[in-house]
Amino acid sequence: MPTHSPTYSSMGGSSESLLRVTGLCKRYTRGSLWRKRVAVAAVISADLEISRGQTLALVGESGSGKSTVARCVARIERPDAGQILMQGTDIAQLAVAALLPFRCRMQMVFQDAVTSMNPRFSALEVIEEPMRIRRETTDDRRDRARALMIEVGLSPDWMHRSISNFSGGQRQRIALARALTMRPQLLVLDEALTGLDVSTQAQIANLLIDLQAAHQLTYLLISHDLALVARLADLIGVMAEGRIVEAGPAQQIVSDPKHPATKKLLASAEAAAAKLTRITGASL
Amino acid sequence: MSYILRRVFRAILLSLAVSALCFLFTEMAPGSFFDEMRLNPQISPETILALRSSYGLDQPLAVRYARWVKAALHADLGYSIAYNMPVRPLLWSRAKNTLLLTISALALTWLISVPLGVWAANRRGGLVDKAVALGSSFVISVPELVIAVALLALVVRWRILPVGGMMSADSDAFSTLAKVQDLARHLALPVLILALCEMAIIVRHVRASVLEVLGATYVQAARGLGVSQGRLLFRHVLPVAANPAISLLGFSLAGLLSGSLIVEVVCGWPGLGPLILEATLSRDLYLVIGGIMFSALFMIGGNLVADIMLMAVDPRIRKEGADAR
Repeated sequence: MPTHSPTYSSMGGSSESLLRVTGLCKRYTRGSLWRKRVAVAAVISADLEISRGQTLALVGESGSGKSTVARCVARIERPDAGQILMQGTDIAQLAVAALLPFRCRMQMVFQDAVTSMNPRFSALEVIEEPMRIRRETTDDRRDRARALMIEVGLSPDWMHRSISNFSGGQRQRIALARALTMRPQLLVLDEALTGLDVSTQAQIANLLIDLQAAHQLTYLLISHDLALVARLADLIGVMAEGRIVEAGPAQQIVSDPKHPATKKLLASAEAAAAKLTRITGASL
Repeated sequence: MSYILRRVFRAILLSLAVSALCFLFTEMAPGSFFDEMRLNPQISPETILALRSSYGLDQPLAVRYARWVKAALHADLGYSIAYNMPVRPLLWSRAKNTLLLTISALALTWLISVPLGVWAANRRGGLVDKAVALGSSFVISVPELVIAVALLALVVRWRILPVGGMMSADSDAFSTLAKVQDLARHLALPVLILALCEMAIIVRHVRASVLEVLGATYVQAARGLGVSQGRLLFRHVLPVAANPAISLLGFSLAGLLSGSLIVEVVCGWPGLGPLILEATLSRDLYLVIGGIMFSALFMIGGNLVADIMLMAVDPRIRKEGADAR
């Protein structure tokens, strides 16, 4: 296991760098009033770089630290060390108020669309929430929400429905619409395709490709499914035990894995595909 | 509307069930008010039989219960044998003191517990959170009676508040403002005891509810959107965390009411507590039933209010009510 992160020269990206993360480190402390506090390192050191319009997928087993990297990049968590350069500005330690302009440039979509939205809200309230922060007028908010609902494939007639009345796939579309209200350049997709049935997964994946083309979006895609991200990502970084252990162009990682963690992920993906083939009698 | 109607219907059924059980249990309890009379050789058995008959106690239980329910519907709760007067005015003269004590304690409990619980959750692991955890653990683990006696002892030793009764002996000569102040000073100790014991429970529940919602993915998503801390708390966290807290209101009323019966006896507050205790010891049947029914109705009413509040704050419950129609 290398003690340093792989260099990103191999990951291509000759165009303008949108996000560069160097030496990212995040620890959590566990303990209580009666128990000694113990630090647990979720990310020991992570480096990554994404150019505008690219998709970088971070893959790894559960607990490898990939979601923590995503949360730090989206600044839902404050990293303990390292730099997160967003178009040249280090946002790693910025205060809440100073972060606000950067929030518009990057948005996060969570795995579980059911729990990532206020259960009391309607679809409209969910989508317009970011616009409220920017104090946009009611008419502007409504018009933009309507346009975004159409763009993500939902009927605007449903905008007043409670969020609990939508299916998982529909909620993921609403989550994408919410993320797009701020006109971001970077979308952090934390297992956004996990937990959906195969058909819905394919629909959302196609939607992501369409949105990327329409809005020149850059994706940081977090997943444990190497086979799935290989179809969407330009670059792949493999995480294990808090470190990026292998990185490079997607095809190279899939066809010629070097690190044991990458090989293990590929073997798991192939085993899952074989199992599905056995059950359905069809090839993926 | 159908949701409220169903809740009211349930409350009526519950009140009837409580009254029936009251009658049953008082009937099953050994002894009666007339047992001591039987020991007195100057009172003949015929006189006792005549007295039992005049109070209707010679009738079967079902007949007595049916008569009591019929009378209770006309606000007549029976006749106190020990006090030789109707139960309703006797009960009301004490019940309003208990209500004053309980409602004051309820207001103080919630006014302190909600902000304190929210603060502790919002600053998890901080000094306030640790102080709340430690303080509430201590208060919960000590019996209410011990806390009442300890605070009473402190107040008596330091002479900071009057103890016993509702007003000072010379309060008749006071102005209205001075009377209110005198009442507040007498009320302070029992309210403090009751609120302290109840607060320890409520603050932990509020903290746990807020913590649960603060950890929810949608709150993290809202943070990621850049929602301000104030909007996050008041628009996203508190409306959802309010549900379990509001449900607790009914339990809180029950806890305060049962606690008030003990505190009233310890602090000499002239409420229902000492009256029910005396009535139970003297086996004053209708007074005991009236006292228990009053407490039960107060609790059922509190739970009904909590249900209506839940419906007001949670659109999902309103929807559930609409779907049931």
